[in-house]
Amino acid sequence: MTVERVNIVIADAYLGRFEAVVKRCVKAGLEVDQALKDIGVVSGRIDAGNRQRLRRVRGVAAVETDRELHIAPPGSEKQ
Amino acid sequence: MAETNGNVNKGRRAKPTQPLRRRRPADSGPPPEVPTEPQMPGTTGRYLVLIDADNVRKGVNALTQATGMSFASAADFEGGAIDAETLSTEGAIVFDELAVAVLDLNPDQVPSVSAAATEGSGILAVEPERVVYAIDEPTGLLLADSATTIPLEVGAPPDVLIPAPPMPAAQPPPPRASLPMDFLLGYREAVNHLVDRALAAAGVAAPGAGEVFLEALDQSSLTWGLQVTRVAESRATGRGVRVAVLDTGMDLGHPDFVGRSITSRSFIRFEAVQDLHGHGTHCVGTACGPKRPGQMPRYGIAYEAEIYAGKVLSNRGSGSDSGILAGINWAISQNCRVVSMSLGAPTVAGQGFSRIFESVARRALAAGTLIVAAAGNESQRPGLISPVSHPANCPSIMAVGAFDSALVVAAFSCGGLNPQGGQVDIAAPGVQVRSAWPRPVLYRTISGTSMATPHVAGIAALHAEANSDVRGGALGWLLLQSAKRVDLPTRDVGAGLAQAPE
Repeated sequence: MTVERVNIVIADAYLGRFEAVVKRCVKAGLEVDQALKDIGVVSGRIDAGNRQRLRRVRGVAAVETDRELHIAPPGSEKQ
Repeated sequence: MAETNGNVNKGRRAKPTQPLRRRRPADSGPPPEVPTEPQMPGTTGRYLVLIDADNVRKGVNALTQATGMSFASAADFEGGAIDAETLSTEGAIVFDELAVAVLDLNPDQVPSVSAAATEGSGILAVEPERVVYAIDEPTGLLLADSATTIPLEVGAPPDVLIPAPPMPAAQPPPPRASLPMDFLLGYREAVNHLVDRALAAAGVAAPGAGEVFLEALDQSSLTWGLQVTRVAESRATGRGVRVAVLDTGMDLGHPDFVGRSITSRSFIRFEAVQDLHGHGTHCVGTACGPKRPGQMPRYGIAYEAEIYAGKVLSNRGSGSDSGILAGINWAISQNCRVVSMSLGAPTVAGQGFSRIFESVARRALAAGTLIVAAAGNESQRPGLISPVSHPANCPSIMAVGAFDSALVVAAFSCGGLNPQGGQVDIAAPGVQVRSAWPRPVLYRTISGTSMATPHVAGIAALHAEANSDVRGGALGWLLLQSAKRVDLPTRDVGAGLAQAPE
């Protein structure tokens, strides 16, 4: 099974119950790398097959793949 | 072309460094003789002096002191009309309505006039009067010797007479002839050039000055970016404002930042904050660099801001959403009022924004933290305009496009093509931007919307200091409201050129 790195945003209405939502995400198969309470975001890894399950967790507003970003190498004139 | 905002330059692209010599038709006879006094080619030997329009008397007094000359005023002549003979006998004329003086100086008087052009003297700029030739008008209109006057019929005050350029006296001149349009245009060019130089010296952008604008700017004490954003004129310093720069970290030992309040944290595994790339140090430098760097020019905006350097990109220049989110979370927890993110991932036409980053940006605004981010460098104008990158394409993140020094959209700067937040919100200097670079290099000049973004972040910090109760979305509104409008598509520059508060 492919493991995906994901970011999850907790719905506004559930921000007051942030820890409870994180627990439900873990139950849904998420391995938590970071829980960012100030912004209501959880990052972690999940089997690709469980991603839909994660999306259905009460209090989860969105699940997105963790994207890579790159800037130009140091020698580049355009940054 | 950029808007001129009342500049006399409006609606044209200036060519201030080009002599105003125009090519004569082959059959128009020999070119005019140049006076024998030592002078620059293509000049008349006289000098144009731009005077502060609000202090014409003061400027004239300063010129009188510097030259010992007495000035005739155009207003004292009938209809404001002055002819060449008057000019040659008087030696010095002031056109009050134009706030311009024309002086017939000896070469040894020039240095004293230049020296008199100090701040507050009323003298804004001095330059040689140029020789201009007509190209399209019938030659008969300009066949006059240097003593001949040609009425200027412009229909608007002041209705002055302007001396014809020195020409061989091939035949008696016509008694009165309309001044050729090219001659008038040449004169206008000369005056506009003078104004452009004065504006540049004052640190004011002269939009429309075209690709030669950078040449007209003196960057010995202030980068062009800080000049056009009016940073030097601002009383604000960013004092007490926390600015987070989420990037490749920072050279914490850079000599320009000794003694500064710096809080730092790395969100990259196994890498310290110390910037081994350079991008982060450059961005911190623009947003928060010192007022007096070890090596001029000044390149930093909010020089008393508290620096929060978050490393979310590795020394190889790569990072991930999760690291950036961690950096934003940290910045909010540290009560930073501004977060600068010179990073992003390209998007494609029709692509929506990240719901996660949008939610986070909204929460940041609610917490009093404004996030600004680079619009992206994927365009190849004029042929290709690429959409704003992620995460700058989120509606609640301020997307920053890049100007070049002519205040034209940088060729690489992404445009607002995608609906729902994919717009460029504001623009700032992003071409040939000098700032700090990790030791031992210390300084480097590079380009990108990455360089434009910390200009906006630093300026946001100035606004935040100047308006202590303004935070989050209100701070963003202040940035947009105060931006200098330019005559360019909002798709590319949003509200316009970011401007520092007074």
